[in-house]
Amino acid sequence: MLFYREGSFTKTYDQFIKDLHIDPVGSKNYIEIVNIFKSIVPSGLNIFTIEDLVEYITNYSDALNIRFKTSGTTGEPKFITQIVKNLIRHFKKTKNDLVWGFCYSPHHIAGIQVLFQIVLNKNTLIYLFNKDFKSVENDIFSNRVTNISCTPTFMKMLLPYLNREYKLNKVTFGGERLNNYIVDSLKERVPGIEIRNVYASTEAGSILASDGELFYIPETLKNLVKINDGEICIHHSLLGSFENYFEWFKTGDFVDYITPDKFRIVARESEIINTGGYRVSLGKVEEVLLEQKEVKDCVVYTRDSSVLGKIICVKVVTDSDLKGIKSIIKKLSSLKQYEKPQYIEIVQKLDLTETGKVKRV
Amino acid sequence: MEEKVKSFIEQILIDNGEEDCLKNYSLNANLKDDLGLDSFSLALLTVQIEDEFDIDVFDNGYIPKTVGDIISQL
Repeated sequence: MLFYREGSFTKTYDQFIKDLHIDPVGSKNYIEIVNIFKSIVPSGLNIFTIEDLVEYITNYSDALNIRFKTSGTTGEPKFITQIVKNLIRHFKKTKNDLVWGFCYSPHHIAGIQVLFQIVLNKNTLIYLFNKDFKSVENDIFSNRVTNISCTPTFMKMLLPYLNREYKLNKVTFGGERLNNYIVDSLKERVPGIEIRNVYASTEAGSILASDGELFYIPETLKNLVKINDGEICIHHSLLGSFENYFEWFKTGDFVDYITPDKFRIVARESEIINTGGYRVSLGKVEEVLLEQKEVKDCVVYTRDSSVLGKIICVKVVTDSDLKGIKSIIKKLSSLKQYEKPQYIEIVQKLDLTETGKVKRV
Repeated sequence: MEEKVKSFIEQILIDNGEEDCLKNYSLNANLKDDLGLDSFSLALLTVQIEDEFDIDVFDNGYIPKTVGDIISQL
C-alpha cells in the first residue's frame, strides 16, 4: 500500500537504508543509494517501508525511468535512460535472509540491476565497491556475505585475499568476458560455490545467463535475441527508451559457437582491430597472455600507427622484467605474429573504469 | 638524437633475435634490406620515436627508407 504525505521523505529513507544494513546514515555510500531511489520515485509520493517501495517498483516498473552512465570501457562514459521494467526483467524472487556484497558502482547499469535484486527481495546489502580488497575480504567474512555480483576483474583482484571459510554461496559475474581461469580459481578457493555468468547490454539490461562462459538463447527469448553473422542482435522491444530505428539492434558483441546451440562471447566490435590488413581480437590476445604464469594481469589495447593502421600494445602486471615478458610473448605459438603485441609496458596495476572494469585505452 | 634512434633500433633487433643485422647499422642503412626491420618492427620504432620526440616520422605519407631519412625528420 502506498502513502502520500508531505515532509517525511528523508526520514523514511533513513529507516529504509537502515533496513538494508548499508553504511551509516549520512555517509557517502548511503546518500548515493538513497538518491537512486529518490530519482525514480515522484516527489510528493512518500514510501514509508521497504514493502511500500517494493510494491511501488513492481507495480509501476513500466512507467518508471532511471538515468545512468555507461561504463566507458573504450571511451568516455555517456548517459542513457532505461525503463525500470527492463532492468528487473530477470529479477528472481529469493529468500529474504541473503546478504549481498555490493561490488558495483550504483550509478551504472550492473549496479542498479543488483540493487533492485537486493531491494525487491528485502535482502541485506554490504557495500564493497571502491574499498581495498583486504577490507572487502574482511567484510565478506565478518558480515557472512552469501551472494556477490561483480565483474571478473573485481574477482581477479579479490581472489588472492580469499583464504578463509566463507558463507558465500553464489557469485554472479557480468560486465566483461568471463575467463575459465577465474572460475577455476574461485572454485578452488571457495569449494561448492555456485557461479552464474550474465550477459547484459547497456541498452537492454540483462539478456542471457549461464553457469560458465558458454551461453545459449532460452526458448522465451528465441524471437527477441538472435545471432546474425556472429553478432548478438536484440529485438527493439527489449530496448526501452534507447533510440533505435531498426527492428534489430546490433550489440557489437561477437560470439563463437562451441556446440550447435551454445556459444561463448569472444569480442566486442571495438575490440576487433585491423593491423597491417589482419583482423585481431584484442580479447583473444589478452586471454592467451593471461594463461602465462608470469602474467599476473594485463590489458591489450591499440595505438594509431601510420605504418600499420593500428599497433597492438599491452600493459602487463608481472614480477618478471621487460626482457622476460618480451621473450615469453615472442615464444607464444598460440598467437600469430601479427597478433603479438609490439609495444610492451610493465605496470604496477591496471587502470579501471568507474564500474571497475579494465580500461582498454 | 641519433643515439636514441640507434638504441631503439638495437633493442628491436635484439628482441627479434636479429642482432647480426646490427653490424649493418649506419645512417645510410636501409631499414628493411640492411637492418631487416619488417612493417611490425617499423610500426614499433615509429611509436617509440613519437613518444620520445613527439613526431610521427611516417606522417603525411612520407616513407623513410634509411636511418638518415628518419633522423632528418626529427
